[in-house]
Amino acid sequence: MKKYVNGELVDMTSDEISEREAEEQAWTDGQADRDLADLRTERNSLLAETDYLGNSDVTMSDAMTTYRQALRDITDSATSLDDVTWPTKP
Amino acid sequence: MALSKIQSESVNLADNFAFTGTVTGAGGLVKLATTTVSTAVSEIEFNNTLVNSTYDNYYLTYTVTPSSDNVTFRMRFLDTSNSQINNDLGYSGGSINEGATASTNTNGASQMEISGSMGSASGESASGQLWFGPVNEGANFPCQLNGFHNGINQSGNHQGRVFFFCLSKGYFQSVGGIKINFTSGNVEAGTFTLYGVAK
Repeated sequence: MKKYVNGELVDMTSDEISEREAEEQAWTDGQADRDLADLRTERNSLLAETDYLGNSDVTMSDAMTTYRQALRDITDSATSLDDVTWPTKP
Repeated sequence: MALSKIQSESVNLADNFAFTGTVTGAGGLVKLATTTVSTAVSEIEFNNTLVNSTYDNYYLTYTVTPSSDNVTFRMRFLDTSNSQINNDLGYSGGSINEGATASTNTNGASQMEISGSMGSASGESASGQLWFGPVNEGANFPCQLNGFHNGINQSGNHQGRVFFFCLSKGYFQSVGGIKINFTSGNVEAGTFTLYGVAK
């Protein structure tokens, strides 16, 4: 393995190569967790769009309640943003 | 210097001057190094030879293409001994991605994630610019890294990001460089230019 240091091409040391390979493996192993985290982040953003309907002076419709519950349950049916089918917002 | 450039009592300001040395005494950007990737490499570093007590703040521009598809572009600071700072909770911050509804943020990560899902196919590329510093404040103030990143994927879809990171509380330290790589695979092509900000 090689790297550029201050513009010069140099060989990486054996320790640097080992560290790099371990990092790549750890990153690969963590893919499923990152996919779920991304999914939850997007889900939370969609939930936040309708949070105001939970205010005490607003009556939430049954359709909206069902929609928000489907968002909360999204990780039961999807594992990432690549395989998710979002519920339709009323 | 050609005599025509020097007038009897002044310098001819209408002429051109090619400086090959370092101009001192004036504020502004001072170009420190350019890395042009002609051979695919695991990472790009600018270390304490360039990032040190000479300047507190630095400006970095880049173009970059990964060797592997769907990888995350990231950066880490080096400490003053040129070891990367990759503590599990070492960095805080995040980014706003105009290509997605959500932004990302963390109070503790082992890296500064500049952009996810970068592609390696023909026509896919990214560029950006950022500032980082102050690098010499030790435990007093966090060294931060802020900038802009734009990428285009094979389908022509644009992804623009504004990113903002700093060392996490408890990890403040002086910084002696920056390391740039992808979470997997090599840096296939690109140009990285580092400037120091003279006061």
